[in-house]
Amino acid sequence: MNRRSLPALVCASACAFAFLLPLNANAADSALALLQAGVRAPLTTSYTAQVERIHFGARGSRQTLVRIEHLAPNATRRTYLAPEAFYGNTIVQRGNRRYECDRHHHRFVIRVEHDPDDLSTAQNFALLARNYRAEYGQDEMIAGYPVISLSLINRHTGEKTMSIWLERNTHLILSKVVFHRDGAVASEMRFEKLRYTNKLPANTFSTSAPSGYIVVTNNVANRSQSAGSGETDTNKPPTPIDPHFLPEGFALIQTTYPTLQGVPFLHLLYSDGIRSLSIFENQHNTPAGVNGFHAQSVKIGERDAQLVADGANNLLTWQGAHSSFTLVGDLSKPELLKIANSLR
Amino acid sequence: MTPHCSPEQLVDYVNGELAAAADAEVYLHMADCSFCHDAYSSELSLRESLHNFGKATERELPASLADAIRQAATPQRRVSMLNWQSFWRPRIALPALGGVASLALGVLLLSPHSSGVSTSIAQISAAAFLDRHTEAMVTMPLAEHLSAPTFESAATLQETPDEE
Repeated sequence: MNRRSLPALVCASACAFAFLLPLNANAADSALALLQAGVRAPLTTSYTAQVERIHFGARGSRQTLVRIEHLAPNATRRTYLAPEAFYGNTIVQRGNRRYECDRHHHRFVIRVEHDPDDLSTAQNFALLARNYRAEYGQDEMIAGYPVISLSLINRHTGEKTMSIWLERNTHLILSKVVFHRDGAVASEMRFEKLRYTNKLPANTFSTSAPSGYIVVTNNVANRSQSAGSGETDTNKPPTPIDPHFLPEGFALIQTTYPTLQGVPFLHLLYSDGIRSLSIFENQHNTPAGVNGFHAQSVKIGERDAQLVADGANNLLTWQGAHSSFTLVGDLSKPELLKIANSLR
Repeated sequence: MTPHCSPEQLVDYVNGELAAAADAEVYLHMADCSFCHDAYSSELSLRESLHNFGKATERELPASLADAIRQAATPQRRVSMLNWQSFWRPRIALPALGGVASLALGVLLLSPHSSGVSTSIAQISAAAFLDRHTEAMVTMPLAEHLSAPTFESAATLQETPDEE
């Protein structure tokens, strides 16, 4: 599928307006409606918990242990307990503003992020529903609460892409496992020490920098413009080259012109609702630098390219005839190579 | 800040030895300067290579040898201090300072940072692309609804090697 499928996606998204409405009793029984309820649960449920995340990479794993205090609908504080390098660091998220307190560098970073609107969230849920079916699994207990398990199966390939466990009453997602195409586990998230409460100390979501910290403002939202913004930029990257091949179910969901380390790029984001692919293109000689990564040399046509595995994501970068390209996504290496070759 | 970070600044930044204000300044500068970010990535890569080489070639020191070194070192400690103090005598210190100054001048002249003519765009770290991809995923229903914080970005994370 390519960008020409966007109108179809927009039409499908109209159906997804149900996502914005309260779930009705009939739909609540279906696995897909349950999944919707899980996605929406943090909007109405306040809690504290400890959350463990593991990302399994090609050469090893990354683990974090974070204490979360969440006040519905959109105030969240995360305090890092592990690894040691991040211990004590905190992130307070209030809407699209994020306040990162880095205790090791005495740095307080304020980030203004993209504000995902309800419509784009609904569109992307419609995309997920079109490409995946949800199947019930066995009921279990997680963090002392009964959970319902769901497996998300790719409708085109029949492969299980994700398993999630939702708390039976609140529908909060308490555990999630993401799989590679070959069935290997790519990442895992699990709640522990869960407690439902909306009585959190007043200073929990404080957004003021500690005394002596350097405040840095990092405006992510301002560093990129959406394709439809109409802004002119003489340094704007070239007209996008559509890939002739994309995995089944993938559609273009976002076009932006971000600036990475001062260099303007065209960024196309494709997804099937769960898996995703970014294509970065620019006219300068700027393929990604792979210093610090274990890169594999491959060929795109006659051109040298570098392939890097980073957790669940693979990255492929090369210098084309007129542009440089960098592809990033939780796709297999053969899939990335096939997409890259279809860009020529 | 000057147009580019000095190598010394980058080394101190990598080792977390800059004062908080200077550290934040370098951090901000690198967000918009691919040249310095590339130099930073190279420094990280060099550090990792040295670390890996050190780990790969690590050997257990025989206990007898360690004891012998300790015994030999203890009575000489005072002598070592005297030698260190003697460094500040003018007849030693002046030529040494001259040597250091010449070396620094040579490095400065050869450094591409100081040439002022280098306009080519350096490579952008793969980490920046990975982070940007993660940031863009926030609208996906089941993605992590939090892009990687700056201290947990792909640029700073080290994977924990699995046990063999």
